[in-house]
Amino acid sequence: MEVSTKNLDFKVDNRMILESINIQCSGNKMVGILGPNGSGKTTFLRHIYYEYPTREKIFFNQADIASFTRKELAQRVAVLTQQMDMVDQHMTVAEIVSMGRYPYKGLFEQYDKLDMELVDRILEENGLSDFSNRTLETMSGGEIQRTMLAKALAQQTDLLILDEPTNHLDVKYRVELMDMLKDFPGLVMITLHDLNLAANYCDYLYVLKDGRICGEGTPQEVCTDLFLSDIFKVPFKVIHVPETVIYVQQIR
Amino acid sequence: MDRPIKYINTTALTIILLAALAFAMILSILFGAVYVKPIDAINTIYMYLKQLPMLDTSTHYIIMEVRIPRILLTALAGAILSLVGVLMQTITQNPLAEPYVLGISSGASAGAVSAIVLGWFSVFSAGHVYVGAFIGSLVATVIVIMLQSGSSSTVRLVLVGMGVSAFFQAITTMIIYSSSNEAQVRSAMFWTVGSFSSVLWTDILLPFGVFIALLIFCFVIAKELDLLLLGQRTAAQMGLNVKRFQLAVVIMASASVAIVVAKVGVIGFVGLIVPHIMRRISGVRHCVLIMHTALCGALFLVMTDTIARTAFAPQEVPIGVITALIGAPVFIIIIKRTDYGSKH
Repeated sequence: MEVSTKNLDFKVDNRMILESINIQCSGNKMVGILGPNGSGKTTFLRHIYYEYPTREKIFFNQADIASFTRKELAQRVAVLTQQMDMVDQHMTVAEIVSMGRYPYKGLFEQYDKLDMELVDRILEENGLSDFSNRTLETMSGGEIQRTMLAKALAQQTDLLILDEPTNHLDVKYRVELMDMLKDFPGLVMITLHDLNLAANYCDYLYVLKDGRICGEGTPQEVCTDLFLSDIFKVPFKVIHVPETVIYVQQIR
Repeated sequence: MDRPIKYINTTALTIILLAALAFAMILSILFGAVYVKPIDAINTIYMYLKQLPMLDTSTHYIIMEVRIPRILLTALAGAILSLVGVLMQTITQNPLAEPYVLGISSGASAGAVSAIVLGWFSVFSAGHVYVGAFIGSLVATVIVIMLQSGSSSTVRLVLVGMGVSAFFQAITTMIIYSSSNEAQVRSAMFWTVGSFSSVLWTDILLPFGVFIALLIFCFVIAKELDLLLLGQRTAAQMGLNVKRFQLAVVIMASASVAIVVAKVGVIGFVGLIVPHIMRRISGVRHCVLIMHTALCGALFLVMTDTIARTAFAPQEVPIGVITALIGAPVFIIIIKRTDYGSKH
């Protein structure tokens, strides 16, 4: 899957939220979107999954996303956001994950045996088999996040979009989630506040500030003391340990 | 999807509900202002089916012309109002959404009364009351959905419903008082209290057709209703055109409520109590929930109507009083559980 944008602008009440955004990413990569609060990260992602409709601005494999039907779009892009409060807490894990097959079903079609086999496999691969009949109200934040990710995986899309998925998760669940995303067989676009996770898991980073892309590149290229300190207005010290990790430390 | 979940087995629950409904209907045939012995009831029904001459014409009249049509209409109204409750709760994502609470029944009532007293929609000749009720319920539903504007706040929904209900009740009262024709006033008053008295066999046909249409509609959209349990934004991300879907549901729900209100008047809380209980027993998946809700709704209203007819026989208590006596506490319990204005 190749995702590209062409001079994407977005303004609200004459205030530019996004300005001339041009990106191009493809392959089985994890692409991180970084930036301070209010920089336009979430708005940008909402354009990519067509919550904010555009025409001839965003392209999947060179095709304008406006040309897809809603279901065709949902067959190409799965989304994981933080809006868990709207989910009915009486639903079971298996019920939620099975809904990932919805984009492939016509009006009179029901989920069939093949769908259920896929759901079972995804539950198994994500360590959710033992939870399959549990309702959300009995689960922790990390387990719910894994359930929603499993639903997104059941969509079998080439693009997975996640908006700050590690918020409210403890260290164990953060690492677990990022490891799972690393195995996603397609393109992952993710916004992150945790610079260490971004630096160590993403293959490529875009940095947004005031609605503009002000930097892009591999984590090694983007994560420098000067650049991060300039973007976030906080002094940073970045330690590169060759072929292992990048450690981003905020200096007090 | 057949998965063993925490709820009662689907088939077992269906059988229990069917048996309970049949039992309640039998009781309802026997009890009323006049008690009919079971053997007399069986004889009467047997002779009616075999088209044999009736020996006891009064028993025949009570059973075949009064009670059975009434019971069937009661069951249909209960099933329809409960199904509409499920639909409204799912599309608004609010457990309190129900035709009566949201003022949709009041809208239908105002429409029906304006058709009778003011002669509106008379171009539709005999169907003008139904058309009036449909337009009234549709207007009320659209107002509620617009004022709710995507919020899932329970308090907001209740307040909006109260406002809409009060508005349409005021219109209904005003129209009734504006009429100088006593017969019209008496006829119009019927819609404000709800009643199953004087039901004819012919009164059942339209509600039966609506029930079948509503049931098929619900089964067809069960997958989409399930998807909305993930939240409207997630449902949209999964490929559902939420606005268009809501509109279709609103039209269907309004038409169904309109037919019930036009036939039997405003009966509150059925669409609140029944789905609330069934979601807990049957689960949240709509393909199962729909079937069980329809059965339980029919059962609930048949039982309630039997109580209304027998509690102070030969006087008949308005059925809305009984449903309110049961429904109001359930309503309060749900509000308490939803933590005052937050999500369910």
